[in-house]
Amino acid sequence: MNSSTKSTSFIQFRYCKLCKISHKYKNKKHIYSLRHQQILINILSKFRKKIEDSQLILKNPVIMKLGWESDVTIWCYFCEESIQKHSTLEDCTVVCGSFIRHLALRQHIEKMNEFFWENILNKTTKLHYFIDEADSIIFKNKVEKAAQKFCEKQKQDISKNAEKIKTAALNHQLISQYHLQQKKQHQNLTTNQNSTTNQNSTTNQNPTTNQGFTNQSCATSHNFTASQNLTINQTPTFQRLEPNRQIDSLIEEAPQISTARKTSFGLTVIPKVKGGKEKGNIHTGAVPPWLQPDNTSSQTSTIGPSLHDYQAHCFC
Amino acid sequence: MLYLQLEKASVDLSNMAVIYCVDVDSVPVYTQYFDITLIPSTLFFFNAQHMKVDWGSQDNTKYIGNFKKKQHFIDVIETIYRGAMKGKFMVTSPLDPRDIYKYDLLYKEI
Repeated sequence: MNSSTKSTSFIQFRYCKLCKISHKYKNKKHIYSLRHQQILINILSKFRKKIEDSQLILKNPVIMKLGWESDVTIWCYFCEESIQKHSTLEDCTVVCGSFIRHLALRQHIEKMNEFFWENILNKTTKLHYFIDEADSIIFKNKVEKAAQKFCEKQKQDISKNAEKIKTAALNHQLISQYHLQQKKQHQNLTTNQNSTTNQNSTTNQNPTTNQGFTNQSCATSHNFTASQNLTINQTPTFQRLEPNRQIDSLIEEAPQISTARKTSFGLTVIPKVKGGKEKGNIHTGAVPPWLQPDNTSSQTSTIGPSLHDYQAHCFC
Repeated sequence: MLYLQLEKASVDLSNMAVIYCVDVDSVPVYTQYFDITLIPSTLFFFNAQHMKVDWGSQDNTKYIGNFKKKQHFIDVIETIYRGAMKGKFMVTSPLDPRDIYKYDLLYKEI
């Protein structure tokens, strides 16, 4: 029994993961085959290019926004696993950070040695396929400094943008104030015109009331000159509103939030639908279109037969 | 292609959801209401109630972009269905944030 189990340890064939074929394990014939050698040259040159790119970053670490190329992976031919290309810190992404860390791992170096041994490759080229641990530590320190700089720069950018938005909002407020004041003045003018016509008629009828009116008009004259023509019973409507209150009332009248700017990769951007500003949208919690009353269809059409037809149907 | 993914998933989701493809240009009222600026966008409803999903992105009213896998879409629908059956109007996305399409939206009060 023991002798039979021992004999099963013999492996006759082996699967080559590069060529994706099974070959005889005993001799090295497959390794020297043209196909295998060609594949080896291709993958090593491809992998070397990627490592060279990352070695450039090793000297000058590059920091990007959080979420930048978050799902990019690199296949390590020696370790036979996919590795995340970029590493992420709290609020930024380190370009090639994860890949560099992997290249400096002892496991990677061991696997690389194994790969070179199995495929009988030139050992002098080993240097190109891993990174020194000391270099990776230096890179780590550099990354920390670069990340701090990047965060500070981002904060500055945010504050600059905030200032820009503030100034834009102030301009918007001023414009809205101006429009509101003009609207109020226009309304007042129209009411005064109406009141003067009434006053003319009342002065002719009751001359004694005219004196009282003039006293009140003096008190309100600083607001608007046309208010001198007001009658006694009318209260002056021209009160100077505070600017903040005016803006608040404006916002209450038409509150709406919508997308002002959109950026994306691979998505179709559609132009904004014109009109319907007063209706509101989903962000403002407006009534959805399917719950709004339909004026056209429900009012005109009547459902079912008329009373006369129904009675005729019942009695006949 | 989102519509192909939805078409494939529609059979598996036939007990839970019905999927409709809508042309944005033909329904300007709804485009304005849902503030659709990027397509493809996916909206979710349960008994005429719009369902919101916390994707971890700027917009929780709709899903913008394609789903990476058919299974992702199925997972989302299942989560929404379960949440809605419990009376929720907003659920948390079951997807990994890395699997969600990246975009930038700036909202403005007008």
